[in-house]
Formats: sequence, structure tokens, C-alpha cells
Amino acid sequence: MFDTLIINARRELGWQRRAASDLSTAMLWIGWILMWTPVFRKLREVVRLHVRFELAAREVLKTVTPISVGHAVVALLGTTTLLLLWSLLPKRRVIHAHATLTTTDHARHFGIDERQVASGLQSRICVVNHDDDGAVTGITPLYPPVQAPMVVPAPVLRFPQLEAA
Amino acid sequence: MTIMLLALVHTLWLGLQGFVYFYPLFMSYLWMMGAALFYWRFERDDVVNASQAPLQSLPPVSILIPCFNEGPHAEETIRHALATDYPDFEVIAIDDGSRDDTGSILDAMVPLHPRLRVVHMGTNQGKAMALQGGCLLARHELLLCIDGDALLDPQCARWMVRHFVADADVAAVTGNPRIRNRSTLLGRLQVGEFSSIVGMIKRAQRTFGRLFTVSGVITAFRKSALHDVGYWSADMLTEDIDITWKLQRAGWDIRFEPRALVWILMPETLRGLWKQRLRWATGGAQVLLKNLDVVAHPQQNHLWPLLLELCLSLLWSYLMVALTVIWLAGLVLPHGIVPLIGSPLIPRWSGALLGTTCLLQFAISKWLDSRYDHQLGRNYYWMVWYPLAFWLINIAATVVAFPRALGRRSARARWVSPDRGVHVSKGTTMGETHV
Repeated sequence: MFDTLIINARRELGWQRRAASDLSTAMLWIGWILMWTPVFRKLREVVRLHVRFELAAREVLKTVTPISVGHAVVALLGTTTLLLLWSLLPKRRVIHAHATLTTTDHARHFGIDERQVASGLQSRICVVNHDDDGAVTGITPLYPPVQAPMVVPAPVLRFPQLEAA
Repeated sequence: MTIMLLALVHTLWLGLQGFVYFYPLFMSYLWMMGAALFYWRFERDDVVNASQAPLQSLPPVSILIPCFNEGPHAEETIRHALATDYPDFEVIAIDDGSRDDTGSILDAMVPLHPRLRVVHMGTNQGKAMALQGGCLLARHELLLCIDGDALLDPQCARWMVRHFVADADVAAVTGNPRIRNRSTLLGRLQVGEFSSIVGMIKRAQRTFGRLFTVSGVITAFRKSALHDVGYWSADMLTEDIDITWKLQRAGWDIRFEPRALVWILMPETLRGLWKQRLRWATGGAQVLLKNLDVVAHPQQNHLWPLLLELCLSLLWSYLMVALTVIWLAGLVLPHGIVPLIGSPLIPRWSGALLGTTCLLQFAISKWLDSRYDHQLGRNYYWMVWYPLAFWLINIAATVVAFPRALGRRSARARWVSPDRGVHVSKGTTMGETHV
């Protein structure tokens, strides 16, 4: 499967793009090799002057880093250890990880009628509509055709005391 | 007193130069150490094929695929998702008000595939809102979210779900994106980037505690965890970075699963790459600004190292630009006006050290990732110049992005998809199809 997923359409590119790509690659390689010029020079000196390689390598390491290799290794290992220890510090942990949510919870969060969510869940194609602020205003099932959910009128709460007042 | 002050300034100046030259090197070695530890702790012994996992222990999964103008890719993406090797799953394709034929392509597939469902957004709402819509209508607690042009590996869901089964406080598991398009130098460089940088950083961050971000192109979520933190934020340019921080700040755990593979398309033009990196950098800066108050919450100390790294990277980018300007000024201005420094872009001995480090990093990433991407070694011929090519783009993107993030008002983030590289059948660049 892997081989069929890789797209290598280089041969289908125009010759200009291929040439530009080859030229860029060649220039990058020249730059890469030039980056090693100081190393090549030092090697030439070592060979010409018959200096011990070990001494030359030490001198190079002193030139390359402002701190000694030993200090660099200590800094690296120290930071690694510190980060590992830091990850063991007491920290906030979620306490309700086992909570399971119902359709009601989701519907309430999105401010939409639970029955619309239920009909959307039953459908295989549906449309979700939003208002200008991005709030969900409705879910319309399209396929398979389902009966529109029976709209049960919400109970009207009456407060005789207040009405009387 | 004056001498002491001058000495202090001189020391500070040398320290800044040292920081600019050696911070990337130090971080590179730190990532290598972290990635090697990750392998030793989590990957080394895990050679058993995921398909051998007992079926009854795997809870059902909803695969969410938000699409916007994905006409050329939608069918291939959906077919791969439907070919997932998993006992119980549904695929929900979310058409976010596409202006092309994405909606009709998806609808036509529904009668043919019993596991497929399609959710249309009445009007285009952006990726975060599309994901929320899919989440609202998903039947299962575990959601595997991929992009509309991403091809899911058949074993991906199995590798991810085992984390949720093992630990109730795991809110998300992010996968391992691999790049498909390798026709140009840029494409091949990015193959190296995703192995030697992205995969390595994720491994290292997981070793040291927490992830900076999940990959928006492939992440599985626990729905109740998303509900707990209020789902994806619609006003963030990079909803994946934002949700990562929201979940981790709330105390949830996020994992990286290198075996959960998804095959993705990346830009193969400089313009497309720049747009993508600028959006990522602006989104990262938005999240940094939003989460600076983490330092005021001792219980969220697990995120402090991440925040420190983010701040240091930002500082490094600006200092790098400043040193480059000082170097250039030193070349053209009369002697003595600005301090003379070597070029930060064309290093001398430190260049050789950088090159060695880079080769070492590539070698370790090949060792880690060649099990998942068998052709990785071939791309190393083109990858040697990666550090300069991409760090320059990333420095520029970071420097431009931070003021943009500071000045950005709270507004709904809309789809901004990059170009998708060179198309195999036509040999043409898939252009900027999105708004």
C-alpha cells in the first residue's frame, strides 16, 4: 500500500521546473561542501605539518564551542534530567475522567433541541444550520427520509401568585 | 564603575551571540535525547502488530473528516477511511459549505457505504466549527479527526484507541503524518522535516511531559474531554495548538502514537509553503499570548517548560534577525559604528558543527521512522540543506507572525488550505483553491 501512496510526478513536470530543481539541489550541495571548508583546511594542515590528529581535534573542538565539550555534555544531561524530574512534579489532573455524556449534555451545550440532535444522529445525511454568531440553530435530516420529530409543546409554567399580583 | 558596566555589556553581547549560534544546536541534541528516551520507553518493545489486539476490547470510533472544497481528494480520502481495519466505526464527512462539488460527491457515496454519514454545514463556518458539528452528530465517544486530503492507514485507529482504553485521563492521541508528494525539492525537504524535526520533537516533548500541539491532520479525541474544555475555539488560526493547550491545562493527558500513520499532501511551491508557515506561526503566537498566564498557576507547572521553549524560540528568531541586520550594517557602514560580527547565516566552524549535528539528527530520525516510511533514506540526498532552507522560512514566519497575532482581533478563523503539491495525473500544481 505504501508505494502506491507516494506521489513522485517529477517526470511530468516541465523541463524548466526540473532544471530549476536540479540547479537548486546542486547549489545546495556546493554550499554544504563549502560549509566544511574550515575542516578541510585543518585536515590539510594536519597532513602537511605531520601534527598528531588527536591534538588537532582538541584544538578544533576548542575553536568550535565557546564552552568545553565536557561542559556542553553536562549542560545537556543536566537539562534532560531536570526536565524528567520536572515532569514528576505534582500537577493538575482531571478528576472526572470517567464521566459519560448523553445526547442531552451535548444538546444543552450547543443550545439546541435534544430531539433535533437525536434525529440528526439517526440520519445519514443532514444539514446543520448556524446563526451569524456561529451558534447552531437547527439540524435537518435529509437521508434516509425520516418523519419530522413530533413537536411536543413545552409546558407553560404559570405562577398564580405573580399573575394575581 | 564605567569599566564594570562596559564589561557587563560586553559579556551580555557575547552571551547573546552565543545564544543565537548555539540555542538551535542545544535544542537539537535535547530533542535527540528525548526522542531516544521515547523509543526506549514506548516504542522499543512494541513490535506486535496492532491487528492482533483482541477485538472485543476496542470501543467504537467515529472518524470525522471536515472538508472544504475537497472535490479532487474527497472520494480517495473517504475510501481510505472506510477501509479502516477496525471492528466498529462510522465515518462522518463534514462538508463545510464547499463551493465545488464536494457535497454532491459525498452524498453520492452514502448509499454505497453503510458506515458513511455526511453532515453539511448550511454555510461555511471554518474548520473548528465543522469539527464541532461533526462531534455533535457523532454516535461514539472516541473521535478520530483527519483532514479532507489525508489518507488513513488501516491500522491507525487500533494504535490510537489502545491509549484511551488504557488510561481514562487520556483526552487525545496524535498520530504520525507522512508526506505523500515528493516530486520537488521542497516536497522532499519536508519529508525530512516531518521525520527529523516534527516526529523527533513530538517524541521528545512526550518524554519530558507534555506536547506543544497535536497534529491537526490526525488526532483522536475523547468526546467528554472536548466537552469539558468547550470544544475547538472558532477564533484561533490553528485550532489544533489551541485545543492541545486547553486540554492539558484542564489536566487531561495527550499522547503521541508514532505507529498511527496518515499520508498527507504538503505545499510544493515557496508561496504555498510561506502561507502555511505564516499561518502556523501566527496561530502559535496566538496560543502563546492566550496561555501566558500558565505561569500564574502552579498546578499547571507541567506546561511551564513548553512555554519557556516557546518564548526562547521567539526571542531567538528576533535576535537572529537583529544579528543579521548588524552584520549587514557592519559590511556597508564605516568602521566603528556597529560592532563587527561574523555572519549568522554563513557560519564558519559552527557551520561544520551544525552540519554534523544535522547529519546525526537525520540518522536518528531514520532509525526511528524508517519502520513507518520505507523510502526515507532516499530523501536524505536532498535534505542536507534543510537547516538553512527551513529555519530561514521559519524565522521569517515567526518574526512576521508575532505582531500579526498581537494585532489580530477576535474573529472567526476560516479555511486557509495550502497548495497540495504536484498532482500525479496532470503534473500540475494544485493551486490555492481555498479562501
